[in-house]
Amino acid sequence: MATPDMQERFAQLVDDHKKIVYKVCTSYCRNRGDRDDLAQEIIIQLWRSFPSFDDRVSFSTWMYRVALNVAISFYRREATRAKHLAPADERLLEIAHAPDDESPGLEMLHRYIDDLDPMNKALALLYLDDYSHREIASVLGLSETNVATKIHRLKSSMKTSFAKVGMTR
Amino acid sequence: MEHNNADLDDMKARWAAHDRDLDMLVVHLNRHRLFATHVQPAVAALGWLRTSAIVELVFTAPTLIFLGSFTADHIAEMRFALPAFVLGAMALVLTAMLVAQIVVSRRVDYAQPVVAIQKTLATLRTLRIRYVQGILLGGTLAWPLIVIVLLKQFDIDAYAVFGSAYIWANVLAGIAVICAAIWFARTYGERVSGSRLGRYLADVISGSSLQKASRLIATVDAFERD
Repeated sequence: MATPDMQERFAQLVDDHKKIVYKVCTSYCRNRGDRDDLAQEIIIQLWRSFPSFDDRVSFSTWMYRVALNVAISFYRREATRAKHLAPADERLLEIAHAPDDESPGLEMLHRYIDDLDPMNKALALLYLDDYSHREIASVLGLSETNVATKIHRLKSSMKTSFAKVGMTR
Repeated sequence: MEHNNADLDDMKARWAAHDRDLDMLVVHLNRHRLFATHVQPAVAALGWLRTSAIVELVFTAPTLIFLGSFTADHIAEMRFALPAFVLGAMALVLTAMLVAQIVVSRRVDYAQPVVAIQKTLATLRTLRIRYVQGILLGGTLAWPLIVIVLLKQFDIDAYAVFGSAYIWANVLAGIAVICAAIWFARTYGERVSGSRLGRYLADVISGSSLQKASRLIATVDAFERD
């Protein structure tokens, strides 16, 4: 049974790390309705898993694991699931979205992430968020060596992709 | 190449700047609703699957016991014991698949590493698809056997009432229906996209959802291995 203290702590932690939910949702869903639905699913799963959260682990790493697991599952059933789970006024999480006027570079980066498969998308997000190889390995469940190899490939692929479109600073 | 490296560093810098912009996000958590609602049906697919497997097990397990005792009671009459034995074997396989679904679904913890959980979820999906395939296709084939066993419970000899040829013709008709259903699902499955259930069943019967689940396991395996 959740105590008010636990609820308060959870709400505070979610608020402190809201950017993770936002970034995962925008990376795995193209349209806003889907993003909102995914955000609800992530929040529910975070709350369900919260009792097993171990304080010795960083909350952001733990949150990334849950959010990515939900997002990858959500992404796969996108074609078959019911659209828009809850009416706007019943949503568990309301995010006032960031303005859409992204810089061309950032827009291109988002397009590049969009084209990755769900697993590499997770890797790219963690890499761009500057997580260490050890942390990425812990979130994804890979060896550090494997993570290093994959990041090397990801960088090469990014370079190629950006060179193709003639990205300039 | 130097130019590209600069681009890459620039990308990370832009991402970091974007991250700082996100500090301005206003997030409102609907605490009352979250903390008061234990389950939202649409998002509790896993819980639904587990509950559904448990309910199905409640029906399948007694069926298995009934068929086992029926086979033992009629062991001297092979024409009744054999259909019951075949049905019992089918029920045993379905029961094992249900137990496996319950066990695997209990292992899903979204806070575990992504690769492990995605593999577990894909395994669970494969188990479920095979189970539904078994029900749909096996049921089509098994219904004449069910009639034989059930009538015998009321001391009615189905062979005498319908004739052996009629019964076995129905078994063959079941095989034909299965082939036709697979062909139909593969040929016209795309056209039932308006109905979620119709699409799901078409994908299960045609084997396309099983292929997707297998591809998913292969993708996660490759990601883990490379």
